[in-house]
Amino acid sequence: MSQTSEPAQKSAELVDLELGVRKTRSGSTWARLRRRFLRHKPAVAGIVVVSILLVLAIFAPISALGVDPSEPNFGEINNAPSAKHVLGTDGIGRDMWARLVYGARISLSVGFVVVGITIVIAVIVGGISGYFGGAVDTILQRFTEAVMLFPSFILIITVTAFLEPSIYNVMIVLGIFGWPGMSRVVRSMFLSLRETDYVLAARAVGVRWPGIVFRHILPGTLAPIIVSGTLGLVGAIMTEATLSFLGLGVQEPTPSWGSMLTHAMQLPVLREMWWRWIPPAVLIFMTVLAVNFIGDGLRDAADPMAIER
Amino acid sequence: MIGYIFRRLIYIIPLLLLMTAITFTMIELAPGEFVDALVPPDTAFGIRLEPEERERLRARYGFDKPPYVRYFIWVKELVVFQNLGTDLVTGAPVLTELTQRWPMSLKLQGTALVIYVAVGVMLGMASAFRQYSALDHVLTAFGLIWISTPLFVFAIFLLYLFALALPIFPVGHEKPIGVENPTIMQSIHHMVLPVAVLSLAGIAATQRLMRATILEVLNADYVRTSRAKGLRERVVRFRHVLRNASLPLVTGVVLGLPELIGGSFIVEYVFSWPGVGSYSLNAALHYNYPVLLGGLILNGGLVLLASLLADIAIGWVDPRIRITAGRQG
Repeated sequence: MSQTSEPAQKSAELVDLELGVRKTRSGSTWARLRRRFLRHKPAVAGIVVVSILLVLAIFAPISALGVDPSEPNFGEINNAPSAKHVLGTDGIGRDMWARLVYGARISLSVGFVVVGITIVIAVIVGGISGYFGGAVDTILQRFTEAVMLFPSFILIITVTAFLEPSIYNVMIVLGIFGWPGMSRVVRSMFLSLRETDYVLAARAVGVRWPGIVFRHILPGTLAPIIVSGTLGLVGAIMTEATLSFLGLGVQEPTPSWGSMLTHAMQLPVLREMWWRWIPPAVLIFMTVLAVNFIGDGLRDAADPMAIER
Repeated sequence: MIGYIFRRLIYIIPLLLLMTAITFTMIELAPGEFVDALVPPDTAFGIRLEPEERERLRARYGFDKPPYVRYFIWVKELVVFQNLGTDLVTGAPVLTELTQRWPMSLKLQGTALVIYVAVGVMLGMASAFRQYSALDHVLTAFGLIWISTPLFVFAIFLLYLFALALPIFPVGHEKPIGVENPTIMQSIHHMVLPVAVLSLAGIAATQRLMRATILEVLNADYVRTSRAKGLRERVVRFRHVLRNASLPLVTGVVLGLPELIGGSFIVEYVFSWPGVGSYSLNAALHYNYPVLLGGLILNGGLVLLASLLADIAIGWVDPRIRITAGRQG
């Protein structure tokens, strides 16, 4: 931010503070979260990058300029970037730009579905563990530890290889093995929230456990779940790319950033055809970095201990 | 304490059995089996397996028995005869194959582990003790970039750099081609790139963990007290801050081990390194499940043992935990 706009920003904050008093309490919390998040510039940049990717992916038929990403054209093999093929063509003449755009669809949808599965399992396991405590908690925690410590990559490659590699199997397998970290977060939130005064008050007026869990405790765990969800998103995107790179993920002819990089292992491609491996590599890196930035921004914004500068 | 260790050791066994049982079940649920991978049902060349012929093959590899029987046979062989079954492709005992390749993997993983813990701890310390300095910002930015690069992308980048642009390090295999007994220098020369790739993500993770932990410890009351009573900053940092920060570090390193093992699979694949990882990956592509289960037992047992050692180490460093563990055991 430039020097001149600082006073303007300050006065806007003052107005914001005044409004905050009048607003309901939860409204001001979200407003504060948003304000603190927007001040984290890398996170805003991350949001911009992810939004652009999302738009490109959702409108892939349009953003690929109407080119079929899976249609080979043996007359135009390994063409360098030109007006006709913005990012050139691959080993069997498919348009690289179209494949990248459709690849974004795969990467992002795998990422979001995996995080969805992860959240469901993590909330159930972590919630039961934290709410009921005692022997249930001990057993579930032991189980969580075991899943956490297990070299899950071996299980993942085993399962994806045996279940006939496909995008849906990748989603399910990554979801099944991705939840332990988040479930610990949910558990610790449940442990601390169930001791709060407002939960005690709700209990005192006779609210039953579903009401307490869903209306009073679960909303409080939302922010940490979102923060840990960004980590899950990063992990899922990276693992999908890795599996596809190894030939165990999304299968040809469906384009995926990871499987596009498989060909980069051939020295002629690496040496002479930069357009066949640099764009997917950069996209994977940029997407993961952007989501990491968003996660950092969210963590800072949601941290009650962070000092407002 | 000995009772505690013993109970933890006992607890590892059912965990390993549970995990192999889950893997076994998933393999069973999946369509397709080894025999079909051996002779694909509909090849382009019109080679077809007669049904009776296929049954004979299945019986030969033991697939005619029901899955749970096969699993119990597998467990019995493992417990009674220390036999992990045979590699379905080469016919060699899996245990022999694994023990031959394991030192190669361990060499990569061990070197990478030592490097990334040492470097990560130093960078994290440099970052945390000068919070918000230029150095801290640079290190934090690099840490974020490193954890955002998947191992295989970094490996490809190094492949490009060192195979083509600057060919000073070999980009594959554990020794020069045609050399039977490589010298130590040759071995190290071949290890540079794989170890570099494997260390990188670990450095970033350790550095971030160390920075966050030290910053948290720096806020603790006992640090303020020791500063207030006039201890020199050096003493405060080494005796109070680092000692307390080392506990989450040990836990973090153990939790990072599964990732290290997964990473070594990819590195071994990219750099044609003859270890357990490339062996298992190959097995996964050929429905060669005795090898996969063997790799799982080996690596899973390793990580669980490491976590036990870490718990003991933490108890040894931290008297508070030692007392409670002693009471329980």
